[in-house]
Amino acid sequence: MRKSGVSKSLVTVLLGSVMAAGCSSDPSTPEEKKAKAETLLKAMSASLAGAKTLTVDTVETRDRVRAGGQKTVENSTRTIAIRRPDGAYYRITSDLRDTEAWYDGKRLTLAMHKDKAWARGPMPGTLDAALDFMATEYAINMPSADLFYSNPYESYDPVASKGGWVGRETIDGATCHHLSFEATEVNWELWLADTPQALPCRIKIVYKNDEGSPASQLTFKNWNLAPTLAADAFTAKVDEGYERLYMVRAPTAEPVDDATTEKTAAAGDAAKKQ
Amino acid sequence: MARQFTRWTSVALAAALSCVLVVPTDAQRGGNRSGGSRSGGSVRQTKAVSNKSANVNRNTNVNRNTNVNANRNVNANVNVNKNVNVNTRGGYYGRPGGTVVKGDEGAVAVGRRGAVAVGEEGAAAVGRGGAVVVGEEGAVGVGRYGRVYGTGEYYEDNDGWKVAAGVATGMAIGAMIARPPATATTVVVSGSNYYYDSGVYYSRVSYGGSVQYQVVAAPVGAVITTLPGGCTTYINGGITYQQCGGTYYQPISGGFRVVAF
Repeated sequence: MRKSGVSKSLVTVLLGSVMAAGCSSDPSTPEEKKAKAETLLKAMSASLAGAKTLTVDTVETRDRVRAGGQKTVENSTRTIAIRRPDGAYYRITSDLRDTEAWYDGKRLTLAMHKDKAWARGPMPGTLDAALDFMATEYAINMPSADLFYSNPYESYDPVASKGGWVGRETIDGATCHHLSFEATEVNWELWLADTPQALPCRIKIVYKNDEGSPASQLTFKNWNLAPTLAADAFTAKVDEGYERLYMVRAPTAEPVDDATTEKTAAAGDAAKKQ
Repeated sequence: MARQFTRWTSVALAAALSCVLVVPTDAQRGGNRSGGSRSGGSVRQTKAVSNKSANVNRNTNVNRNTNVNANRNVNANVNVNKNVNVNTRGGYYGRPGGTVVKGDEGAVAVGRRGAVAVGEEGAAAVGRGGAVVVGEEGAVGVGRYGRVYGTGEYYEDNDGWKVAAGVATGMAIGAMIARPPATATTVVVSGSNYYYDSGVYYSRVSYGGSVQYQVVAAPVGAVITTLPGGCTTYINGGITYQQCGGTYYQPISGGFRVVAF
C-alpha cells in the first residue's frame, strides 16, 4: 500500500512538472493562466503531501497595525519540522521573541525564551485539525501553515479564488513561477520553484479585510522532504525555572476537551518533565 | 466607526472569581469583528478564523429586548426583561448546567459557572466552564479559573489602550497589553505573580504565541502599600475597609490587603 501511494505521488509530481515545465508556450488567457497555476499548485501539493517528514526554514516579515493605524514590521526567522500526521515543531526568532512550539499529537507547548515562560494547551490529534485549532483557539498564526496540511492544494482553494499564473521571477538565484490569487479574506501570492517538485520559494499574504491591510511575506530556504528527525523532536523541552502561564483561548462555540490542561495545571512544575 | 468605543455593553457576569466586566463594544479594532486576530495566518487559517467569527456572531442583532445591568457586587445578577424566556435545561451548545436565554429573535447562552450579558445588538456564546461576552463588534471571553479572555486584542501599553478605548483611566478586565506599565510592581499571591499599577492588576498569560499582560480582577490576598485614588470608606461587620472601584481593601500593617465579601 505504501509503495503504491508513493508511486502515485511520484507520477503526479512528474506529470505536474512536465506540464508545468512548459511543453507549450506560457499561458496568455485568464483561463490558461489559472489552469497553469492550478497545475503548479497540484505539483507542489503532491510533493509536500508525500513527505512523511519535512523541514524548512523561513525568513518572514509581518506587518503589525497598531492603534491609530501605525504600521510596523516584524522581521523574523523560523525553523519548522513536520511529521505527518501528528507532529510539528517550530522556533521563531525576532527582536520581539524567541519562541519554540511543540505539537505532539495531544498538546501544544510553547517556550517563550525571552520571557522565560512557558504554556501548554490541549490539541486535536491530527496535524490538519491542529493547524486549524492553533489559529482559531490560540490565535497562533503561521502564514506557511497551508503547506503542512495533508492537502495543501485544498488549503489554497484556487478554484474558488480569482487569479492565476503571472510569470517567472528569480528568488535567491532560483527561477520560480509567480502565482497570484484573490480570495474572500486575503489576497495571496505564491512563488513555486521551476523544478519537478515545485516547492515554494516565497509566499505573500495580504489580509485585506483587516485595518491597514497588513501583509505577511515568507521566503523559504533549505527544504528537506526526507529529513531524519530525532525521536524526541516533538517532545517539549522547557528549561527549569521558567514560569508557567495560562494559555488563553479565544472564545469558541465548540466544546473542547481540555482535560489535558487541567491535568498539567494541577501537576504544576512536574508537568514540565512530562 | 471601527475604532470608536461609542457604545459599551452593560454586562453582569458571575465567573468563578466573580469579576465584573465592562466590555468595550468594539474590543476588536482593526476590522477583526470577533474571534481573534486574523492577520498573520495562512490562507486556510484566516478563513477558519473568519468562519469561526461568523459562527460566534450568528446571533448578532438578536435579543434587542434584553437588558442586562452590571452589578458591582461580588456576585453579579442578570436582569432579564419580560420578553425573554429562560431555558434552564441545558446549554445552548449542549453543555451541562448551562442555560439558554431566548429573546424575540434568537438565543443567548449562559455558561455553567458564569452568566452572559447582551447589549443592544450583541450576542454571546459560551465556552466550557465560562462564558463569552460579545459586544457590538467585539468579544471578551471568560474561561476556566475565572479569567477573562480578550479575543486577540492587545495593546502595546496601557496608554495605548486608553487612547483606543477613549477613556481617561482604567482598563477593562480581559484587556491585554504587550508589557505592563513601567511603574508596575510585582505582587505575589498564593505563589502566582501579578503586576499592579494604579489600581489595576495584570497577570502574565500566553496568547497568540507570545506573552501578554492581561488585566484581571484584584486577586484576593494581594497586598499593596498605597491605595489608588478615589477610594471610599466602607464598613462591614464593624471593620473599616477601603472600597476602590469594585475592589475592597483591608488596612493591615504596612499596607492594604485585597479582600472579598
